Amino acid sequence: MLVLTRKLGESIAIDDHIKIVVVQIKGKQVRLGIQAPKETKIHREEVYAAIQDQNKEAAKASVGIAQVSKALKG
Amino acid sequence: MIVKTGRFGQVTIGDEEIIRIPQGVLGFPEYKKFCLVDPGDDTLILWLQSIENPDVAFAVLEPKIFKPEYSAKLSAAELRELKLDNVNQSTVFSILTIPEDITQMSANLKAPLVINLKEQIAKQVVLQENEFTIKYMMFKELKMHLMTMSAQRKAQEKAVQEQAGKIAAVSIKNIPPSLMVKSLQA
Repeated sequence: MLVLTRKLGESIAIDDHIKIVVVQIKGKQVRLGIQAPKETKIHREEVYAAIQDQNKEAAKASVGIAQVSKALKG
Repeated sequence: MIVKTGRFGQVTIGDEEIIRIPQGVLGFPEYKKFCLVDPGDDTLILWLQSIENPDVAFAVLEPKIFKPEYSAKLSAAELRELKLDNVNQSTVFSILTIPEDITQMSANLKAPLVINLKEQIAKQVVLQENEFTIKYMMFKELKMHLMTMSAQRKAQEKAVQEQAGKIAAVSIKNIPPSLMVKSLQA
């Protein structure tokens, strides 16, 4: 992993079109501003973790199809 | 080929029915080949069954059934990955989580499964919209939809009976989309 040190207001450029700026540093929190083309997907890492957890729960479904059908159509 | 499944026993599928998910479903990167199984129970819920692991299957449902205004916006890169020109050429499914209390079932609107049925490739896409939840409660809406469908069908059957002797035309609305779906009743 590439590790860079930046001061408040400084930024990092990724490729030609992505810019990440350190907007605020407050205690243990860093606020970042991100400039990127509209089609670039930007998510907090937790979003992926939450989706993975949800998928694992979805795959665990132990109810029978007959029960689901009965609940929905009954 | 014969696929062993935990939920449906053995299912026979053709090579053209295999749906490839090159990056896997999030949290399950090791499984890349799936098929869609229709248990034939008229609930509109299909199952995305892993061909590589009999115990991995996801209940999926088209979100427009319980949330008509829902739409998935894909980036150019995602469309390319799915070999699509636009999202209208694809089928969008939500992955459902069905707990013991079935009335608490939920759909993941934030990360739908987008399938290019022509090419048989799919991807779980994470949408940018913050208002889409990964746990959207939808039991009531689905139940309501099924009741409406069933009432319509009954009305139609009655109409057909009243036309006894004549050849009954089937409404185009009742012909399901040409999904590559494995019906267990086939």
